[in-house]
Amino acid sequence: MFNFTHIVRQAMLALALAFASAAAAAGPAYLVTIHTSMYSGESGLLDFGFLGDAAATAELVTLSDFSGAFGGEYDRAGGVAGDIPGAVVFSNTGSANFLTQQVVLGGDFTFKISFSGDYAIPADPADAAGLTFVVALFDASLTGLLADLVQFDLLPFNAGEAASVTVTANPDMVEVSGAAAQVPEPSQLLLVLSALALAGAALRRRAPR
Amino acid sequence: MKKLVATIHAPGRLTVLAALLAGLSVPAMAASPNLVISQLYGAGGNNGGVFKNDFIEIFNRGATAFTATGWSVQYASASGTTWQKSSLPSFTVEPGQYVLIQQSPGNDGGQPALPSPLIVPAVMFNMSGTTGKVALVGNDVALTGGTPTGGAIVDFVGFGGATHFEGAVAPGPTTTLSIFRAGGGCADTDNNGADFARAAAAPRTSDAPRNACGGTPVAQPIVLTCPASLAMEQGAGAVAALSATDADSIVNGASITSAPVAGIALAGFTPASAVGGAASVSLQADAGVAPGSYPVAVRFTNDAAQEQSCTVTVNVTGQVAIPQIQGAGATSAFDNMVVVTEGVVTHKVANGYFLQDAAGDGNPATSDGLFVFSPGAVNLGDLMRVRGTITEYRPTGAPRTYTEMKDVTSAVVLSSEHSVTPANIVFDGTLDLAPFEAMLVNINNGLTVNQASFLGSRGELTLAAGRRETATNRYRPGTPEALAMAAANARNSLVLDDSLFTIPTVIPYIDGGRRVVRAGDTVTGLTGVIDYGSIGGGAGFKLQYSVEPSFSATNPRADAPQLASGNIKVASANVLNYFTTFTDGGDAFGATGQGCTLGATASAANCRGADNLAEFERQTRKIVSEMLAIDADVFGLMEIQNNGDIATDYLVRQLNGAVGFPVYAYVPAPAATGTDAIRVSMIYKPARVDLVGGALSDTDSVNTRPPMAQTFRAANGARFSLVVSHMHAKSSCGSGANADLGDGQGCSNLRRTQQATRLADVFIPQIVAAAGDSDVLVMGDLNANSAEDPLYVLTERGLVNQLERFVRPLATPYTYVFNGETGNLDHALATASLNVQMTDAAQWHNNADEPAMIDYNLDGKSAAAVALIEDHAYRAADHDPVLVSMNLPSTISDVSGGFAVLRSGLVQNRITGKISGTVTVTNTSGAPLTGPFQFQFSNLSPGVTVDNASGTRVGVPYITVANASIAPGAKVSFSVVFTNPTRGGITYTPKMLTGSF
Repeated sequence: MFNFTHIVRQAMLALALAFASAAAAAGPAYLVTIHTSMYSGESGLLDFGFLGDAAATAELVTLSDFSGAFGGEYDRAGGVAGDIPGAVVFSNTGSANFLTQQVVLGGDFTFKISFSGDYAIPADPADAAGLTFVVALFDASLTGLLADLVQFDLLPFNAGEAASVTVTANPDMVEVSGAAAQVPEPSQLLLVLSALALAGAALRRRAPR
Repeated sequence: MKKLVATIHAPGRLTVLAALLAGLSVPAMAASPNLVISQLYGAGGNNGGVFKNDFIEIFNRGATAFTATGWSVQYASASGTTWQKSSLPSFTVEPGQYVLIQQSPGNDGGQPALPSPLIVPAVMFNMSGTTGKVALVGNDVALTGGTPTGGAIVDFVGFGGATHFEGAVAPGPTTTLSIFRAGGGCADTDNNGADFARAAAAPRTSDAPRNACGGTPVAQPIVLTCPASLAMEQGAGAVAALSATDADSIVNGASITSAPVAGIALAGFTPASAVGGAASVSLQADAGVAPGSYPVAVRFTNDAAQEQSCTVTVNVTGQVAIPQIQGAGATSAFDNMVVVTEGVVTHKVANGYFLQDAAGDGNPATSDGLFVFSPGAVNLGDLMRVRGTITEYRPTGAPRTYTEMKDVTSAVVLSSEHSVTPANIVFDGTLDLAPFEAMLVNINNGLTVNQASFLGSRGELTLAAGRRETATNRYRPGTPEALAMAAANARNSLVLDDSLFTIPTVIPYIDGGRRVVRAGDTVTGLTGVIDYGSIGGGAGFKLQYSVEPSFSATNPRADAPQLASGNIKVASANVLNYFTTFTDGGDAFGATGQGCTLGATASAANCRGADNLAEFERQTRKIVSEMLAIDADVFGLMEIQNNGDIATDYLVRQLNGAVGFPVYAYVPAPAATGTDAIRVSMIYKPARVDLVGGALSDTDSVNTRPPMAQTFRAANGARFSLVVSHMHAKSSCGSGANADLGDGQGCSNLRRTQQATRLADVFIPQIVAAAGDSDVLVMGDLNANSAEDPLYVLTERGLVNQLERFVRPLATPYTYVFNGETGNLDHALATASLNVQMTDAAQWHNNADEPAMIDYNLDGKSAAAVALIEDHAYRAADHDPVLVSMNLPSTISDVSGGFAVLRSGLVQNRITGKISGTVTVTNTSGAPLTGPFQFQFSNLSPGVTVDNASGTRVGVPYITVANASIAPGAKVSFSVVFTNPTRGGITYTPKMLTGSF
């Protein structure tokens, strides 16, 4: 059992909304470093998973810049595209989305993780669903959990509270640091808001006199 | 002294006692006349016997007349101890007179009957031809033991090998010899062996010459010699010789005492020339006496003021017109007479043909037609002269007879190509068809088919003017209204028949592509002859049609009824003995040598449903079609095999298989389901209702099958209890008040009434107490029509008849057709509190109106009938299903609008596969919300389960949020664990509910 420490990063999109920003960020990005010296010489499986309620807003998780003693792929399912050490993109499409990679333990493993999509904007703010990206270390036969490593909880705007990304990392093995600024891109929310405004205007014009 | 005194007193006491006994014995002796058994014969009807019946002859050997009241003759076998008793009517025996008492006939029966007059007891016994014991007893109490003596025994004879007798055993009689008491009955030494001897059997009646015992003269009667009948061909004339003697007087007069008949008279009376001589007279019938049967009473008198009469029936045979044969009365004046008559052949049936006097007699009270019971080739339109015996044919169980000709000895065609004009009649339900017996008629009005059950088995359809409702379905039994309606119904029936009297190989009336004729359809163009005879379920008037009638489907097959909206639909259905074990010993699972349990025994003979797998599969498809069309949330089922839940479970699997996913589940059987081969059961939709507690049943012995009850809870939390009852059958007769009392309620009405009383007074209160809810719905085959006693008992106790409430204002409620009348045997009754929640009730007439030939049974049917069986819902059973809908008010509140819900992302455990997350609810209503709450996973993705659910409601999982209150803005979080065996994602519609869950 681990004692997790919680690093709560700021809730960006809600903030952006509050200030009516014209250019929302694509999402936060982080650099994750995993130390495995306590398992030196052992083989293991590094498992990446991404899942939420099927009603959650579509979101992409991009892993890149892998380093460390990665071996071959052990298993994958659902919305996973790309191969380690190249970029890998997860989407929350199926009943399970995961990639399980063979690793030789002892050294450090690093990768960048970034999120893109409108996870923060629920279809119904009174009934919102989040997403979770989780990384865990298993033994080489996937019969025993060696360590929970890091978990990113993406929670949308709900009950008047801003959206947030909560990062929960294993303090003995994992370091998470914020990544560089993201490339701005137009927010889907803005598009939606514009469409709604147009629709409202249309309805008003059609209202009976 | 003391001793001396005692010695003196003892004889004194004995003397007193003897005197008392003597005093007592005096009236006893006076009560015992000198009646003795004077002759016995036990070989009556035996092979070689000389009479058809056994007999016992009694004789008065005393000097005074005696009247025996309340006496009996009794018989036991040679060493038997059990006595059979023939109670005797009161009879008087003059001194020297005999009395002949008939006993049972044997199997042969070809021998002559005993002479008359004789006593024929209501109960007779069959004596041994050679050995046994007979007692003449002065009361009507059966003797006991092998050696009865004294008491009420007046005379006792042990014969053959008897082990008990007076003095010594009498000789045994033989097939031709009886045993006679010596002296013509006078000898009585209390020694059967000495008093009886064998001689040729010669029973003596009370008219036999009297035999004075002990030289005391007795007045002898006039003894007559009269033929029983005098047969005569019209035009020939006939004479019968009658004579009379009297041993102690001169017979000197004779006269006819019956009403005079022209041409019949006495002639040539010659008085006896001396005491004991014979007087003679001729009974003459002139040639001109018309054909008919004339009973003529002739009385002889003597010079001692005595008289004796006999009756000679003069039967005059001759040519008689059909209207004369028929007459205006209920029976023919020519019954049992040979006649010759003429008529034109109007119709042929399988066992004879119909003749009609083409001219008729112009009298509307007499029929012009006659049925000739004589299969054979005849041609329509032939004028025939037939000679045969007129008889009043009474079909089994019929209330009346039908005049017809049988034993035809001559049938000659006189000419051909005649035509008979049909009589135009209007059968309005009140017309008496008796004056149209065997006549060709044209019914000018349309009639309604009242029963189609026997279409395939007999080629019959019961017709009437309109449809007939069973009187006790509308009026209380025995009331003037009920009696009048029953009488009107009885008159209003005419069975359309196909002239075959066998299972038709071609189903009639369904030409032109029609596959069915239903009760309620109408028919016109009815032309044929009026027949009378056996019909399906009894006897009655029939129309043997000669022109194909024309049918209109005025009561077509309808889809299952749509009910006024409610939130729960309940139905009851009789499933016509749904047995997964077959009468051939097989079962639905492929086993052989199986049996059905009835009471303590199991055998294939106890099975009541399908005979084999082929029938069972048809039965299943028909029942499944019916039930899916009804689409009730809860079904009460009658006539399902009492084999635990096996048969019910099998039916549920077939229903679900037909739908494609699990829609129905069965209510697990209560602790006891009774000992009948069938039980009642229930099935329900788990997505519509939940079970609350287990099923109850009432095993009280008054119940034929224990009624079963289950409490249900709807999705909105509302509860109700359903009782399914299948009361005692109308056709299953008991004795006393459980016999058929003729009041229209059938057999075992008391039993059903007791069952209804028990239901209302005991079982329903038990259900209400167990459920904590007074909403009780009673459904099922109560085997009682709406106005009969069991329904009266239930409604008097506050239950409300839903079919009377919702159906009667629109149409006559019925679920069954019996004897061509509709009746409501299957009911829905609601307690007062549930009554106000009922929104509708209906019946689906998919069964009762249909011919039985298309039910699942394959046996006893023609290939043509089997070819008409389809897998549809029509005639899925014999009873119609009953449907009700109710609108149960919700007991829970949906407070989802007061909360925001946040579902976290999910994490799948890669080793266990379980998926976990967290749900956070926030009170966004701005006010405190009172719990506890149920967080419901509505519309949860198919196949997904909530592992840590607190429970399910109508299949929907929920997690209890136990907080008594949640403040404005406050959050409550709880974890959720899912199992998702599917390839799809997990989602649901969250609901927050409060209230009575």
